[in-house]
Parts: sequence; structure tokens; C-alpha cells
Amino acid sequence: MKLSPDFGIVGYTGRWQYRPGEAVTLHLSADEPCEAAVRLHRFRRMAPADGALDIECDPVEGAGLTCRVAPQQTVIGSWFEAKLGALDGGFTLGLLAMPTALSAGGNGLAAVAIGDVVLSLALDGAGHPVLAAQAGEGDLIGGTAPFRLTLARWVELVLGFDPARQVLRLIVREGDEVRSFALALPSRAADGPATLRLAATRVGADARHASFDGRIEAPILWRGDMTDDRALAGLATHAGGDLPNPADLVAAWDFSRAIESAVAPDVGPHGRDGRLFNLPTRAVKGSRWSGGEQSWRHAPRDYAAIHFHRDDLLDAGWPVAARLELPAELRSGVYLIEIAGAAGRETLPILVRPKAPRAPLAFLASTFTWLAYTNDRCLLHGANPEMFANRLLVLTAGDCKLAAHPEYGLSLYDTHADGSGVSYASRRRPCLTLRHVQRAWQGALGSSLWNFSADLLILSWLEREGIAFDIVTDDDLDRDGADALAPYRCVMTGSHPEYHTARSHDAVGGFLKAGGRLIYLGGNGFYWRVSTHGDYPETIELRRAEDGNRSWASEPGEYYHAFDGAYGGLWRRNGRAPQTLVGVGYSGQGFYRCHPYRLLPGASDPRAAFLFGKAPRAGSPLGAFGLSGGGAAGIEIDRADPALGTPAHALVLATSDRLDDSYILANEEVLVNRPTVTGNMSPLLRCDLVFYETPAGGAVLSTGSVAWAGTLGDPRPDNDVADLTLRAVERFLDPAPFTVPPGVSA
Amino acid sequence: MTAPTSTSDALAEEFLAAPFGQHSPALRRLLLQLRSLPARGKHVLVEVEPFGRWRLARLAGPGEPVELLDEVFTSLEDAERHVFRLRIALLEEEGR
Repeated sequence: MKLSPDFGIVGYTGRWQYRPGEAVTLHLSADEPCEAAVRLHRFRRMAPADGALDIECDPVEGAGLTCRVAPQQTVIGSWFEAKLGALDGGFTLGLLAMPTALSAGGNGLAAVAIGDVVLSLALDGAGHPVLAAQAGEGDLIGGTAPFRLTLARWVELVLGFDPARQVLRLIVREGDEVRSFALALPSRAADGPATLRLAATRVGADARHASFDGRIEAPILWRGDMTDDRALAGLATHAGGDLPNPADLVAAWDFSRAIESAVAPDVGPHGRDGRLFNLPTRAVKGSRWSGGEQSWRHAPRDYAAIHFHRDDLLDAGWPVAARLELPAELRSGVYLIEIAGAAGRETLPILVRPKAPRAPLAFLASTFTWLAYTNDRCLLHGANPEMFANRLLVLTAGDCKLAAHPEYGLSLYDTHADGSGVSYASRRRPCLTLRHVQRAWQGALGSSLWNFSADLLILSWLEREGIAFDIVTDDDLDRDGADALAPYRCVMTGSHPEYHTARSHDAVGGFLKAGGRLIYLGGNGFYWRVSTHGDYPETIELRRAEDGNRSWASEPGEYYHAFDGAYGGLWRRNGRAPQTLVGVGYSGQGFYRCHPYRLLPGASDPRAAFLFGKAPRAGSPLGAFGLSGGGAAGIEIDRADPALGTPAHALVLATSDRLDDSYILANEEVLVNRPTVTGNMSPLLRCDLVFYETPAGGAVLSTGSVAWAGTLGDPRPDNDVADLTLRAVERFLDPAPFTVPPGVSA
Repeated sequence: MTAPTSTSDALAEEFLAAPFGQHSPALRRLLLQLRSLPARGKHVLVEVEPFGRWRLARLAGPGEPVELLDEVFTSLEDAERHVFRLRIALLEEEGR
């Protein structure tokens, strides 16, 4: 397909959205160093052609450059680091630790660097503590303790260094048992500025360095080598939330503070705050979690731990290879940045918002959902999606590249190496699933377009119909609230607007309250709650709390977000079932075939007459074809349900309930599991097309189907779904107010 | 994996005749078993030409590249048939 990346060059942009006149930063890497030409293309449309997909783009004149692309390394794995000043006379480090996985390649727990001498504590693949010392690039002096730490158990650790005796020693207390181990070091003066690292021994592109999977709590550092009893007592005092005698105290970091930030405050007298790199997970249970409270805001001391993972990634940190200046007069839309050289080709999409709102229609790009799925590796290991797909999994070039590059990080669907769920996702890394040619098993038989690429079918249809639109993103809603939508008469969503923050959710609700018109053109929308980070705007947090379709589950007691303290999980479990916002809400999924809707008597209501060119006949099909699974209803589907908040006056125009057995009812609908949760066995498992008016003169049309875009994007003549959508857009752009039928309290 | 109770020739025939057809309950059950094999070592397809050519491959462990195999298919149905036969053979071997 046109402009397909082969990933010989790989990259990411500093952000996913820009305004005309701004410069796009290109962070690029190549298998081999090469010169590359950078060109900008405006995406116009994609359409089926000869059994494949044809993509039309227009080159943007005057936006291009050449640049040098060199291979880049990515430092993956999270760690803590604090500058200590001079640290002569030795030290005593105390901390609590709970390893959650052991890698044969080593597990770096803590290191104190004094000048060029690094004294470190790691665990070997069997859990034996390993003490080591290394001066510069000199020989590593190491020794392995004859005992092991236990996975998933908290232990108290004391690492002491006595320069007079040149001994590095370790005390481990687990319950009442105290064990010790010492390593004699060759005489070597260690002086100079000191640095403490936790969850890493050294830091570099070598993955062995930031390599700890597990939790760490209450690190505290004293000057000089203390007695065991005094060190253990001081550690216990600190872990209990009190500051031990500040004499000889270098620093004491309290991980229960500033949980929403990447700072670990020093509560000692010297203010040696630590920094967290690559965003380890905060708001996790510590050694003292009692179960008495479930939120870290109510009991911070219970949440005084940080969970480090060897596969955390906040920012790949590749240097800027080029800055592409966007022309000042660039229409809003999707643009593709082609980077091509001897090493290969990469194609990075960006969204361009208008300088000022121009069109009366806004397309709401699901930038939070696209991010949640970024670098989804579930098809590569673990989650076994072939049984959902009902067919062999087909890997794209991007999937293969991901498989070979674990350092590009994980998606919110994956689990870390230690089995814990991935709660944070960042755009500051190669995001290989965000490509116009990317397809996935979730996209069903046929085109298999999914998320971003499926949404391009909606934009293709708008282009074909000549309907002007501006792009607005979830991030805009999160930042600017309903103001981001206020200039528009009608907002159209993508095929799968699943993830929303409280602010982006409020913005959609506020837009409707003010009389806005919304076309929810997807399924499984407004489902999960996420939060954005105050310091890292390209990052979201998710907790897969107690319900919903989950590829992993948050641990008990860890349902509250670190970024903002919000209760995570389903919006439904936050008292905002999607039906309260858009009239329909998630009911189930199937990723194989899609089906037509069947018109219901509601379609004949005069209130809905504007949607149909000829009088609708109950029982006749709607959308019996399409590029996604061969029907307009399917993949992830929603239903109307007054008990969950569908307005009483909402018209259910059509439904699709004769589903095949690959469809399974959403598990939040299942109180007691039963064998009638598939296909046409459950009355709750269906896809409803819904219309209703709002009190402020606005209206909502909800398709409740991810597959609608696949039918809408099919350019065949006599496309009933496209016809209905066009009529909806035309009426929704007409300023004449809608009226809630009399006698209804909406 | 537990050997299914009925890997009969009739089920194989039904699948091979129409890999994407409307399958009988017994065949659907067998296919769910076959498709639930663990990810490591599992057969997948790698796209050679979008919508046109696919190469057989096997998944490796987390962080490891996909292992490309020799077989190339120009229809997804043929790929399904091939992998079905491989998995049935594996099943029969395990059942022995």
C-alpha cells in the first residue's frame, strides 16, 4: 500500500498533533546510518481496490527536507536516582524491597557511586544477593551470598560500606530471621560526588543495568558504616513514617509523598530529592498496607512503595534528527510524514488542528484510545487472541518489528515481565501500531483496519462527500474542556472512543448540555477511565479495576490512579455508564464476522424521518456489507438500556441481535456465569442504533458499533449506512433546534 | 492440551472444505481447542503482500523475533488448511 513503512527507519514525533506553522520534531533511528528525505503528504482517502486497499495522498509542496538518520539506543526500565554530594567515610543504606521476578541476566537493586567507584547490590537469577564493586571500567569484584530472597516477600536490607576496612556488607532481615554477607574489596580510595540509584546498578542502553522487577520502599542513607541494630531500627522508624535521628543522615526518601509526580522527596534535612526515570508505577501497596483503606490519598503510608519494572518506558530519548516546519496555511486533517533513505522507509502520521476553528463539524480523534493500544503485543505472546479472532493471526511488518524490539515498550493491554499489568503508556517512543496501513485481528475479516486506520475510513468518507471538518483530539478535550468543542455545531467520534479522562468525558457531556450534536460513530466508547500526567502530557494512566473486559487486572487496593488520585476502572463503575452520555453502552464483542442491523418500529417514528430517504420498513436490513467483517454491526458493540441511563425518549432505530457464536457478552453484565453468553443466546448481547434529542436543542445519534466505519467507508453505490450517516450530518449541522418530545423529562 | 474426543475425519473434512464457513458445534469446539494453544511456538502468518501473500511463521517468547518458516500462501483459506493439518497431527502425536 502507498507509503507503507518497512521500518528500516523507525521514528516518532514529539507529539501526535500540531497546528499549522509549528515544527514537528522527528526522532529517528535507522538500521544503518543513512541520508533520508522527509516529505509531507496529506491523507485523502483509502478505498478497496482489487482485493486490497488503495490509499490516496496529496504531497504538500514546500514541506520537506533531508536529514541524517543514525542508529539509536533506547534505555528501557525504570529507576530512581539521587545526587548525594560528597560521601567520604563510608555509608549505610537501608531500604525495603520485594522482588517480583528474577531474570537470569541479573537484577540490579541498588548502587552507590562515589566518584568512579560503583558499589552495588543485585540479585542473581535464583534470588541470591550479589555484592559488587567496580572502579571505572576496571575489573568487577563480586561475591554472591549463600542465601536467597523470596519472590513477592518484603525484606529489610542494609548495605554498608566501611572504607577503613574496605568491606561492603549486606544485612537481610525477613521476619525474625537476619542474615548477612560481606565482600572484601581491594584497597582503593573512593572519593568525589556520590549518586544513589535504586532498581539499577548503572544506567545505559544495556538493559542489564535498569533491570529490577519489584517494589522498593523507604530508602534511607547515613554517612558512615553503622551497626546492624541501629541501621535496622532507623530503617523501621523511617518506614513507619517518622524521621530517625538526623545525625549522620544523608537523605531519607519517602515514596508516599508526591505520588503524582516523578519526584521522590527527601524528608531529611538536606533536601536531596530523588528523580524517577521511565515512570515506575506509584500508588502501589507498600509493606505496611493494611487493607483498611483503598486509596493512597486516605492512607499514604500504606502506599509508600514504588513498583519498578525492567520494561517501563516513558521516553525513548532519541535525539531530534530533523524539525519539519508545517506550512502556515495547512488544512486540518491527517498528514503522513514519509522518511525514506537507503536504510528503508518510515511513515509517521500527525494530526493537524486548524489555527482557529473553521468547519462546523469536528472529528474527535481518539488519541487516548490509540495510545492505550500503542504497541499492543497481546498477539505476540500471552493473551492468545486467536480464539477471539477465529482465524490465524496475521502479523504486519509493524508487528514483526515490535516482536524484535522489546525496547519500544508495551501497551496498556500487555503485562510486564513480572506479570503485573501495564498502567502507563507514553507517546514518546516508536508507536508502531499508529500507522495508516496497520491492521489487526480485532478488525475482523476483510480489511482488518482497527482504531487509527479504521478511523481513516471515516475521514475518507467525509472527503468523498466533500464535508469540511476540523480535527479535535481527546487531548484537546482534556486540556481545554468543553471550550474545545464549543465552536462546533456537530461532533463526530471515531470508531472506537474507548478511553477518556474525567475532563474529556466532561467536555463531551458539556458540549451536549449546551445544545451540541453528537454522532457517536463507534462501539465500546466512553468505557475506561484514564488520567493524564501533569508533567508528561503525552502519557496516560489506566487501572484495570474490578470489572470489565480486562487483559489483566489491577491488584486489590490499587484501583486509584497515581497521576490524580481518581478511582480508576470502568466509567460505568464510576457511575457514568456510557448510556448516560450517548444512549448506548458496551455489551459484548466478537472479532470475526459483522452483521447487518435490522430496522425496528422506532425507525418509523416521525422524529427520525430525517434519517431515511424512503419510509423505513421494520425488519429490513441496514448495512449488510462492509470492509470490516462484512456488516455494519459488530466487533465491539453497544446497546441501549434505560436501566443504565439511556434517556426514556431515545428511539432505538435498529438492532443487530442475530449474532454468530464468536460474540461474547461483556463480563460486567455477568453476575453468575452461565452458558448463554454467546451469539444470539443473551438478550443483552446486541448492537443498537439510537437517536434522541437533548433539552438544549441538540441531539445524539449513536451507532454502537466499531464496524460502522467499515461499512461507511465502503464506496459502493446504494450504501444505506453512508446515506443515513450523511442525512444525520446534514441535519445535525442545521442550526434549527431539536425538540424533546412533550411529556418527557430528559 | 487434552485430546478432543472427536478428531474424526468428518470434522477435518468439514473444516478443509470451508475454513471460514459456518461450522458445526463439534467443529467449533475442536477449533477453539486448537486455537487455544500456548503462544510460544504457535503458528501465525506474516504478511508478505497486504491482502495477497502470507508466510507461515512461529511466535517465539517475549522480546524475541518471530521465526519465519518456508511455506508461503496466496490464500488465507489455504493457510488455515495447512495449519489445521499441522495442529491435528500434533494433537494425534500427543494423544498417542
